[in-house]
Amino acid sequence: MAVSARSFGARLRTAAWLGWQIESNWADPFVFVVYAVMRPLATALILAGMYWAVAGQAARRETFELFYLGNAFHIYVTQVLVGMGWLVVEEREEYETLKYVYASPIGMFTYLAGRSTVKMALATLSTLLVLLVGWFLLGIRWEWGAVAWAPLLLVLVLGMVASLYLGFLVAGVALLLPRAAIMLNEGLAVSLYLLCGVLFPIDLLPRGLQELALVLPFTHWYEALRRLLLGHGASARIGAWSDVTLLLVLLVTTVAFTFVSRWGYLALERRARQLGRLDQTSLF
Amino acid sequence: MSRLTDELVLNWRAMVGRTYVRIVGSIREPAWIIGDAVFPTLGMCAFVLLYRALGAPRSFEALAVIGGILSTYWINVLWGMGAQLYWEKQQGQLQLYFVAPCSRMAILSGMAIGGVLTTTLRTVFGIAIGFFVLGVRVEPFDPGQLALVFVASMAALYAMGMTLSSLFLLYGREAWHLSNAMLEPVYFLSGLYFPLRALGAVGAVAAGLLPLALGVDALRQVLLGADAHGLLPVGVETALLGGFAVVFLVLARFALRHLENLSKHEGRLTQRWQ
Amino acid sequence: MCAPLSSSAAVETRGLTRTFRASRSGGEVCALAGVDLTIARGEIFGLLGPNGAGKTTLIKILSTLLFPTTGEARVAGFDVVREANEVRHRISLVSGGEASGYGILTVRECLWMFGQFYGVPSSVAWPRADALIDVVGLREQMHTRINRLSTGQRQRMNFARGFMSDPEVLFLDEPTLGMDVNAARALREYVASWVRERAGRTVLLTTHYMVEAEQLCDRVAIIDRGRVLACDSTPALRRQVQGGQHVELEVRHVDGHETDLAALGGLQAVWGAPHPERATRTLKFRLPPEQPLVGVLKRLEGAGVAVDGVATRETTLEDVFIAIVGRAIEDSEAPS
Repeated sequence: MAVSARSFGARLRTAAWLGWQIESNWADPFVFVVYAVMRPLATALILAGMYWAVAGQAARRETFELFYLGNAFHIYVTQVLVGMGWLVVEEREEYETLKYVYASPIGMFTYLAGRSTVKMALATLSTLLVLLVGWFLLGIRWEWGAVAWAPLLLVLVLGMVASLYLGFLVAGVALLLPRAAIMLNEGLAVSLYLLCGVLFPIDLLPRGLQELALVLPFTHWYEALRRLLLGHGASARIGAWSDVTLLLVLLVTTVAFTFVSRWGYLALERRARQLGRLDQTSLF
Repeated sequence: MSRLTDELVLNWRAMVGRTYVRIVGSIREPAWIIGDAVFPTLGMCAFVLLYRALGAPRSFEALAVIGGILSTYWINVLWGMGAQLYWEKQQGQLQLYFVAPCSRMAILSGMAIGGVLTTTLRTVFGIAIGFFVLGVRVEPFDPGQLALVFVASMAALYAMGMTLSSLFLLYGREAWHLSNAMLEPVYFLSGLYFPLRALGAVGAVAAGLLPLALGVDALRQVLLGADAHGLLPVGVETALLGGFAVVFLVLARFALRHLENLSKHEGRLTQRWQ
Repeated sequence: MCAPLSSSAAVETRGLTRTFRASRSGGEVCALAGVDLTIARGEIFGLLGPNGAGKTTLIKILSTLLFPTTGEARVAGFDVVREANEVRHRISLVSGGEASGYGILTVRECLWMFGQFYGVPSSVAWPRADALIDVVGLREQMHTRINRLSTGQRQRMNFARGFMSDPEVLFLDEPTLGMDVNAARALREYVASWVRERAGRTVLLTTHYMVEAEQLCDRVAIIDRGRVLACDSTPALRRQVQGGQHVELEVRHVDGHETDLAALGGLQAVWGAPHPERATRTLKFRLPPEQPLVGVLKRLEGAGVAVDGVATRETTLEDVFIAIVGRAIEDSEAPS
């Protein structure tokens, strides 16, 4: 049955409202903000600590700036990916409402997308804070006048879309493997940390893993952001591509990723339904 | 004396019962191996490769590997013990523990010991990747000294975890989010991936408050010697860890009792979806 | 002046109150407003009340999960606040509708594990688990993981868990919730035989099922809005509200007029569930001796209501409940 745009919008808004209620109702606003920024800030400071530790012995400041930036935007991936996986776990194990949501006409995609909006908002807040710390505390700066805003906006949107669809895939895994999902969420974020050139150029990876990294949209996302803000990327291999080529590759990989993720989610959901996992608790 | 014996036997059995759940669960759903052992090790690899990209001396890579291995224990303390009471409460299990006559610390100990299986596997995996794949090297070391420092670190860490777990009796999601938010800050303040000395005075204060900071620093010194850029002598740090263990155990006992009473006054002990 | 609490009763409360903070901005909810109860050892004592009456709050206080705001309570002779650990050695709690248990364990393992929390040696715990598994009819599922059980099966396992420690005082909070009729009946028979088997075993049972209370309980207390409104044996409670007839009418064409008709002639009447196929509803009331039934029937006829059937019967516990509380147990105003 086709869903009208208005109906879709209403469902999406309801899911988003619920996401906000759950995220924000457990503490006063100050504590909430502290929580939202503490973790990404600490991650950024770990990098800073590592840099300070070696600064006297091998200072490659330019390198550090590139990876600080990558780490800042990786927050989107972490927040959305981990958030959507946890969402399914909480709905099933804690609130025991997953079966009711699933059996309702809202549609899991719409529900997950709506619930992810607050994650996106939190990720944006955290990323801005990390960038501000970098700007004022660590001197990681760029020329605003030299930034191409239209491509930057396009790149940001593509990255968010890729993060969202990765979140769908993780939610699908959480439906099928409740116990594994908890750690898989975090583990996958870390794997992308390793594979997508967040902290070091993908050129340092073994050849096979480099090819895998090139297939993931996030690799190109970080490189594109670095080029647009700092003027150059981290990887010599990707550095050989023109800006247009890089943007096109980002667009194609993102679109392909959305199709693969959607297909993957539907297959996982179907399997979870076959196995009766949608209302099965298993935490120990 | 007989009463004391009865209590000890009761608590021993409670601990065994709770350990059983964790171990059996780990064996029956082995998919956690990928999530718990493989993926976190990849994070460690990322930091090692970052050091390579920064052109750091090879000893820094060993620092990162040792820190990464120890992070598994902190995660077990935080999530496998501390926050576990939160999940127990959400699932309606917690009230059954509080109606039972056994000690809460026995239940928490059972959770911690049961988590040793998963933690040990992560440690083994981390050692294999760090030392055999990434080629990290350590200096010759005294196994006895290593064991002593390790045991002191774990005692302090798990005692701290028990104290943290008491927060979940009173607070629900707030405590969960606090634990979640504490993960990386503790990594930073403990110098998990870099020498604590790099933080200067901040590092010294953190070492005074966080057993993980002292444990990491002491173990690095045992394994890397001067290249560990240690904060305090190993002997001093080991003694401090022992002190931490005692203090936190006493604090845990008091905190569990006090917060249990407080949550019963406010009616939050059995309140779900808080 | 109230007598001091004794140590010979299984459960004793004096002036027990409990208030909760309603919201962060303030306001209080009074869950218990001064409860005085004495339950003798060896009794099966029932606690009846609508949703929100305070039954579960009382059980939580007695099982040491909650402190009272004021008042005292003793279980098995020990104060629930000051001697909580002594109380815990002697009690067990079963809450209906709770899906407690670790999904990854089998039924047998789960029962054994909870026995460990009470210090039951494994040599006793395993055979006792096996015996209880037979009692609740889960022999075929004993090696099945809990996360694969149906709701009713989980509830039966939950019920069995309550007996693992062989407690002196057993709190059953709606224990047959979610169970089929046969299973519920078997469990009630087991509870009765368990109490008879050994002197001193006591059960405090809360339930919504009148039949359960009537069949099992030596005495019943009716609680509403945090107060005990009546407490006595079932025959004695029935005698309190006897007089007149209990009438049930099957009426049609009432939509939208339930309130008016229920107050017809000053009767305190209660509506039953509608019958969709017959398009009728049941109207229940107690007719005072001085009021003839024919007068009521005529008033209904005058209001355009057709009466399809008339039945009269003896006073039941439900009638007692309605008479004392003022509404049926399903028609409670308070949320659960």
